[in-house]
Amino acid sequence: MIRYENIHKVFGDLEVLKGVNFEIGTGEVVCILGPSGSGKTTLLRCTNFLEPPTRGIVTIADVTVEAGRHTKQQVHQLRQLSTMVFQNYNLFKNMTAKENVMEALVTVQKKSKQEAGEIADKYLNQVGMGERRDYYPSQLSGGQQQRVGIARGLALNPHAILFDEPTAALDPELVGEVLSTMKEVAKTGITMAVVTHEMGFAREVADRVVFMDGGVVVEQGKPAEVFDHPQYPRTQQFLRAVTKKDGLAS
Amino acid sequence: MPLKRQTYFHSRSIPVENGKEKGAIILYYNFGMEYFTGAFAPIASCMHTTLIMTFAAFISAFILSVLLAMVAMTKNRVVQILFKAWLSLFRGTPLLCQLFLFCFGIFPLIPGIRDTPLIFQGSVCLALAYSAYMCETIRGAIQSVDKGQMEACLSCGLTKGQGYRRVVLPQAFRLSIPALMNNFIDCFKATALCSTVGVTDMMLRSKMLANKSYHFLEVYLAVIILYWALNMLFVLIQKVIEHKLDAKY
Repeated sequence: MIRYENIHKVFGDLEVLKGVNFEIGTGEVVCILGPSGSGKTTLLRCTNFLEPPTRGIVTIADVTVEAGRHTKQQVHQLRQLSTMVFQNYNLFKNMTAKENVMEALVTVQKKSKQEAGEIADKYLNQVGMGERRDYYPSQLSGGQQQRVGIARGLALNPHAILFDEPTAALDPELVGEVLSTMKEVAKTGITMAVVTHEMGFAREVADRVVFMDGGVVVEQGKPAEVFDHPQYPRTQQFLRAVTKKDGLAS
Repeated sequence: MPLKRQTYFHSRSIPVENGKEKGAIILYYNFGMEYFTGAFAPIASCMHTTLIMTFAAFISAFILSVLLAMVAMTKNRVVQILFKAWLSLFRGTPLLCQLFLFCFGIFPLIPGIRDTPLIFQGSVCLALAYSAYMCETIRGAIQSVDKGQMEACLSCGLTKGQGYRRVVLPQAFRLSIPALMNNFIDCFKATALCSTVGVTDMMLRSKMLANKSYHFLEVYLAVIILYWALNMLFVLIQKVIEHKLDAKY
């Protein structure tokens, strides 16, 4: 479960988040949609305090952290309950695929090398990267790197996994392999927060979509409701623009 | 080998093309081959001093510079000012002056260091000076590692320290190897300056030989060839290291 209470984030003079409130239930898959600059990515980065919120309360499972009064210890706990999949993959460049997955298992969870290796193999196989376990990130395609990134996140057995536009930096023909891996992940029943521009994925996989604009949540609901019967003009406008683009592409 | 003082310079006048003899004088020098070849063995016998100073100074400068680079990245104002002053002091003054100041001025005042061998004192000076150069190298390398690498570490639950140790510093180290090797070569060459404060390295040994025999050309040619040969060796090692690391990732 992830809960946001009145999250504010200010960069200099720019207020990016203006009081965000919503909750992602345990095992729920929530896609966060919205135009660029609406604060989706910032919100996701506030979840594990990569960007500490200026104000507000973040809860993951049983850890509640209030921005401004947070301690290193609390932030560390938040980060152990969640992992993140990045737009630019951010695999550790000095390690092989397998070492990437093993790293936090050994360093953070203090598992033995052997046990970590077995876990890493299991998750790499799950994302279809078992045969490339000894490759360095520079030797892998974007899609393959992202699948390793997902395995790295899953292997830690986190309460929630945060996807920050995981397909935005990929070549179009590689998007499919990552999305289908994410669908598999969604089936495992893990809590997922997904910032994405992939409307098809959101419609098909999400339990709920949250539409953000101008630093607040404008609308949320089941994908079918939001996509087919958006209530607010801003949502309608956004969806029209996006589907139009999709229409041209296909 | 007995060394005697001799006169080596002979002069003769040479005719100019149009036939008129002018008073142009060219000095002809009898190159004392035995002094040249004979100089290598005694100079090379001090090679270990040069090498020990080079490695001792470079390794301690490296450790110091990593610490300095970490310190430099903190946001504390006072620390920043002290750090800038440190850099400016060591990079903005001649190394020779620093050596004299430390070895003749400061170290004799400090009880623990007063009686240490000169080679140690010289190495400390070099380490201090080169840490200032190298810490800029290291800092640049750390900052050129993609920010996302540290974010990925944090998001996986690693602490900042673990992230630096396991991911950022290894990458930064690799990025900085060419520049560090340049620092190493500079440091190696700078050890010759320590001869001025009395460390019997290759340079001081050759100076003593030359002063004794008056065969300056032969002896200094020999010492410069020795320095150059060592330099070539280091460059070769650098190439091997770079090649090995390139093969990795």
